[in-house]
Amino acid sequence: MKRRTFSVVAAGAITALLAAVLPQAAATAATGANCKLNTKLAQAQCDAVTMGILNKVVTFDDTKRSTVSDYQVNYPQQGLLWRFDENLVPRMDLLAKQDVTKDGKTIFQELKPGLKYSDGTPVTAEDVVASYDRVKKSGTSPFLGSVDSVVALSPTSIRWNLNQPWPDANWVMASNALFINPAGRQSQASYWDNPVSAGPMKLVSWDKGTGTIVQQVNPNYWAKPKVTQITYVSIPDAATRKLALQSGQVDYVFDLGYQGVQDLDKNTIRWFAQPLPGTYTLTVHTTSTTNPALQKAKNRQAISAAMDRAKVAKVAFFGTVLPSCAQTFIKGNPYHQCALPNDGKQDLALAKKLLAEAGNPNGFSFDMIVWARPGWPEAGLIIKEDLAKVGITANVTVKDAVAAQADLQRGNYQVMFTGNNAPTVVLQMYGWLVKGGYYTTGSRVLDATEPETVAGLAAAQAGINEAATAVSPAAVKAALLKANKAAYVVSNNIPITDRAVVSATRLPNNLLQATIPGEWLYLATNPLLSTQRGPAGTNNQRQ
Amino acid sequence: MATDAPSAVTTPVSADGQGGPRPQRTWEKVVRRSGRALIVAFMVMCLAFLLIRLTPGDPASAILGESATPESVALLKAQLGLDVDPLTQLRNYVVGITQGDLGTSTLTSMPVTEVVKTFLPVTLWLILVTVLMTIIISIPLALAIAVVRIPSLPYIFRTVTAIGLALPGFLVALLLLYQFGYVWAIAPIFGYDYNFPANLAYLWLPSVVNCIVLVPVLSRVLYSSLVDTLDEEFVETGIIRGVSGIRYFWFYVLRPSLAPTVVLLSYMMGVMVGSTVIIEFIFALPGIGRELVNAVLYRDYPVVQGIILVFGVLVVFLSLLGDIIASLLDPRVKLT
Repeated sequence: MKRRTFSVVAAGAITALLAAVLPQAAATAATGANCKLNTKLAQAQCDAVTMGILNKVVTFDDTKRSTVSDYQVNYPQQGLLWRFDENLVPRMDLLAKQDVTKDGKTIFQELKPGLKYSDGTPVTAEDVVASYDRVKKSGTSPFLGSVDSVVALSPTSIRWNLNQPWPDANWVMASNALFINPAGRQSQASYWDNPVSAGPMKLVSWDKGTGTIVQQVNPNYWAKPKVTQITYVSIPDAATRKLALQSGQVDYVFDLGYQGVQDLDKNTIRWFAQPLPGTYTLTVHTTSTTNPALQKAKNRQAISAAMDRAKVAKVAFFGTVLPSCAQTFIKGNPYHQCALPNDGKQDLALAKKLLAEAGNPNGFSFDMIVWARPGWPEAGLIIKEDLAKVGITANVTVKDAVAAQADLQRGNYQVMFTGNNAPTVVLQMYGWLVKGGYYTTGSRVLDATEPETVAGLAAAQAGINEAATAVSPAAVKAALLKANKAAYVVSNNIPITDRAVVSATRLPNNLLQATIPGEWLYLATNPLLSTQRGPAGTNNQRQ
Repeated sequence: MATDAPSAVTTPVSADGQGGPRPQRTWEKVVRRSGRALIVAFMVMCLAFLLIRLTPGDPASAILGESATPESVALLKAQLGLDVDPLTQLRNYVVGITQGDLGTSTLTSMPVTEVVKTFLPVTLWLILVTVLMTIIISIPLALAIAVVRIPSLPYIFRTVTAIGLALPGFLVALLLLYQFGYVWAIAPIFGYDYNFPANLAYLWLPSVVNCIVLVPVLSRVLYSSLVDTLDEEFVETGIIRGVSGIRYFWFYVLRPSLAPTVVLLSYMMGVMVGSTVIIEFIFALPGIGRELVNAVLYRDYPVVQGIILVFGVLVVFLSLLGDIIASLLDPRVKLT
């Protein structure tokens, strides 16, 4: 009898435990009404969506950004003077008006009236000045090299004093160059654990353990986001991200593997290879003390000549990208021109000739770090095989994206398979070849002493500066060609192919997608940003 | 040491009154064994301390990279406590540990104690659930195969367990995640809930994956012990005396066979603290293994140092616990 009682109690306990555990397993992300895959963007409105991102967010402090996940989560909640619309055109966000003087060296801006942060405090011109000063002082100020100073003329008026015309200003201000935060608080380290928002969404919670972040609509934002709540969950494994989407536990996943995406249910899920305005590249440490062979421009050019870019595009990235023939991306770029020898096609004879000229006829070896993102390790291995054909040995190590990016920023690498992208082609080249560029700080790609490299850098920088200040498309194109040819001579950043990221969604098209240059999240609002009137007096509407 | 070498003057009289060293009581053995464990833990602490100092070159420069300015290197050295002589560093380190201060993450600015407090419980829960599942499966399985005398059964058992051991953990994880998480939708694909019993929803499937490896190992060891035990004379005596049921299986068969299994389990638990990283990665569990790998990749030395210290102490503690339980279960096992 006792034994029977024990059995019954044990069975009951196990059943209760299972009942407590299993129903939770079936919980799925809610998406609300008018939130189906085929809902038109104009009608779309979602209650709560869940997004699967790669890494746990490290910080919201824009001067300490470290991963693509940080950028993505930051973008919808940060205040921006300009913001990209669904067509990737920068539109005035916190601004009501912008004027540029005829010489292009001064920008006057007027904030929208009555702007407030999510906590109700007003957004002021002083905040813009403080945000600029803080970013500039931190040394992490990509693309702000044209700016001498920013001055508040009144609580809502700002003046930008430039050292040269800055046609890319709107694109830069719509990217991650300058997030607007309260002047009095942004210098406190604790502020960044729970920053206020001048963007469409506001931070509600941040679980540093699981990495889960919840954002809700910022009631003080001037437009109404088409999503009430976004939950970001960190799912590092691409296969798990895909299963999470298929099971309905997340609504949008970023950076899926290429294999198997064709199997996703077309009725409920749409996958796409989002082209990014950038290139996959081999970044070379041109002053590496651990590998003097890499200091020679001819050796770096030999690497460029030996690789089969078409094979990388076809095999590693399943034909979703185009093989590069210049530093700048191809797809959607009206200024694209080939600048690499033989249009970037594999040329083993040229590679051997360059190696001989560099004094390394039998090749050399180097350590190559590859970011652990879908397709990247495969691309790295294809390049390794190609280089072996001319005697160059690449020792490949695959590293987590956070760690690899840290190594790049600290100069702890010899060669790195990585990727870049930027709002405009000028900024893309600026990022690698001009002091103050996004990738040049810390990565030591500009510190070369070899005469050929030094001369190439000077020529490239001259071309980029010419393109940066040119207004007519023909002049921009001519200057970019010069810069691209010089960039090949330098070959500190060897272009491989265009970039694309495979993502998949259950949400209406363009509602919430990582489409913005830099892989940041576009979030649709009502009214749509694209319906905003363009700025008066500017002459810089170019891509 | 001295207790093993009887002294002519102080040799105690043994219980049987025939002289020689007095047998140690169990609590004395436990205290002695614990003392040794503490010494090992201290050595682990010193190793963790040395880890950051043995980095080729200067650790601060390694963290900041070639592009770092001397000022920023000096600043980080001060932040890491590397700007004083090694003995002072060791003293500060030990004092810090006694005050619960393991340093601060260079990546997230989070205190390392917070990192451990946040992520270690998840891994410990995962190990606990895994061990419970393993015990529940392994003991009846090994017992049944050892007791039920079907000649082909041990061969089938060895083959199946060999397959389990040969399967790569990540593959099993993905296959089970697909089947249970997606097809049958009875397990969450990712995430974690810190509350009990809600956390079990997130832990049972990763634990099953761990069991695929652990059950074959443990059940094989237990099976071998059981077969040996069943050949012992006292088992036959028990049968002749008419002992049966739970009393027979527990006192005559299982208990004398468990010691090697318990010791192995305690060792495997220690190993699992660090080796569950792949499971944590695939199931997106916020465990300490994943944090350690990230810290190593990011050169976040204070976190690496702190986690290794915690791992070391845990392994020492689990090993001690395993030895004590084994000696309590089977008097033949000496707690040395």
